[in-house]
Amino acid sequence: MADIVPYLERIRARFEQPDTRAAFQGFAKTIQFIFTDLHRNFALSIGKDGNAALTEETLPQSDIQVTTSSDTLAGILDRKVNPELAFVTRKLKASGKMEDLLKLQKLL
Amino acid sequence: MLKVALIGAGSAVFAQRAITDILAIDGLDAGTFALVDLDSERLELAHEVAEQTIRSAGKAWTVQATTGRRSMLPGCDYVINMIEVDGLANVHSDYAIPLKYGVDQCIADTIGPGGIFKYLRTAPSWLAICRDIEELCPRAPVINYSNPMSALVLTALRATSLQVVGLCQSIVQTAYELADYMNVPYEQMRYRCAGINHLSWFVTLEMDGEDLYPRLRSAADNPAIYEQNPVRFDLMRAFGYFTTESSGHVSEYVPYFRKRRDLIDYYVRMQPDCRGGERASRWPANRVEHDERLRDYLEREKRGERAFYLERGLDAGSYIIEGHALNRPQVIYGNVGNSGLIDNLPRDGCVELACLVDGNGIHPLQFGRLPAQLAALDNVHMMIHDLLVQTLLNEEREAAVQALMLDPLTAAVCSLTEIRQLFDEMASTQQAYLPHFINPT
Repeated sequence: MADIVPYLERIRARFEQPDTRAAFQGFAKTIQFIFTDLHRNFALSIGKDGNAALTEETLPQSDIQVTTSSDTLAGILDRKVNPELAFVTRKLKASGKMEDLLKLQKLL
Repeated sequence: MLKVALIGAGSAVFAQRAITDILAIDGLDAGTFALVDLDSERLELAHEVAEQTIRSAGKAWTVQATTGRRSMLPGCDYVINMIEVDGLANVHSDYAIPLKYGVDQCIADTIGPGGIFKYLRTAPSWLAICRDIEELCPRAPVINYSNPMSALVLTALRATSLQVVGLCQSIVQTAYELADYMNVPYEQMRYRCAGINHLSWFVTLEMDGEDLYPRLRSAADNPAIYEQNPVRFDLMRAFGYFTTESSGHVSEYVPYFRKRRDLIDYYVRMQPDCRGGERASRWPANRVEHDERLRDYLEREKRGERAFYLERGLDAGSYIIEGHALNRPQVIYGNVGNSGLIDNLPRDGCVELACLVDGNGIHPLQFGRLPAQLAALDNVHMMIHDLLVQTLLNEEREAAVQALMLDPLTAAVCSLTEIRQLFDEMASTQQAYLPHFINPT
């Protein structure tokens, strides 16, 4: 089990970079991360200006849901786990509108 | 030392995946990747990416790259084909012209008007490549990834003496999906699957001797699961078995799901990009985006950051090389000549089934009979493949027109006269990219 908070923080910190903010400009969406091994849920809320906030909470409704284990997400961010393989083998599940999921690809 | 040719390596993202998988083979620590592409700019990107991937993997492979394949083929132990022929120039008309006639395709690269014209554009180049392999490295197994898969593999089987196998991940990917739907561990699930590419069937699905189909049918009653694959679940309810391609794509292989607006609305509601040429309009931008991402990863790797994913994927190509080069037996799913492997499908067609790979080569495994209703659905496509190969090898335009007349979706929407008009319009629009005998007279 990985300590997932620093990894989620790394995702959030990408929104401090101008290119990420530009890429997500106008993409005001919420991403719910559900960690099946930790039984903890986190929300990444992206604002219209391309800023993002990370909170530990379960949203009543989110635009994108990512369900995975802490080791899988940590492995993806450390480049040890191939996200496409994780998706195909159902170690990472993502649901939401297709165009939103394509944006998610840029983050992972 | 092993030499692996990648023909069409300018598909750099795809080439990098193949190279990554081969580099991940334990015990295969040195060799040469021979990259070939007609587009020198894309080839250069692939070359740089290959060099960097090797450095990151820490293996002693080398890379050669050229636009002239004949100089690269001598001495090759394996040839991997991933060519894309004039796709960007024609993808719009592949969707838009059929749409005028009411034929709303989804992927349009393996069947239907788009798939048939992709074959007519691609097959001459593919055949020329196969002829060169036959002359310059005839013992090399040829692994094909290009679409339309079945018709291209069949072309090589009919016209050459090469050992050709076509690879697609759809069977293994679907097996993972099924395990998830039924909430059973993938590793404990056992299955037998066969048919044709994108329309193979899980004829047996078991765990510890238990038939899993009752569980799968129960899972299909859960709307959250059904919604993920409405076409495939409805095909299972109708014909008894689960098929191997995603709902959007398989919906264009059969006549039931895309022939009326209300049906399209219902069946592709979860995949809005699977209608109205949406995929076609996105493809050019997607390609640019993929290239940009690859260049970004490359720059980061050069700066010493870890950007490439080096984990071996599910794709069977590297497992074929491992099984054959190192004589470590592997079972993969491949598209091969039928030769009686599936009793009730045409013996001279291309089928998809399990193959054993060892030091002696690729050995397709006898399957037996498919349930008649499944064989019937596959059979019509095999006859279309047959007509397409006939078109190319006999320079027989009318066989291609008849192939389109037999296409299940096109036939469900158009009259014979309309299908001929559709064919003529596509032939006229794509004239510059087609063999001379397809061009309108």
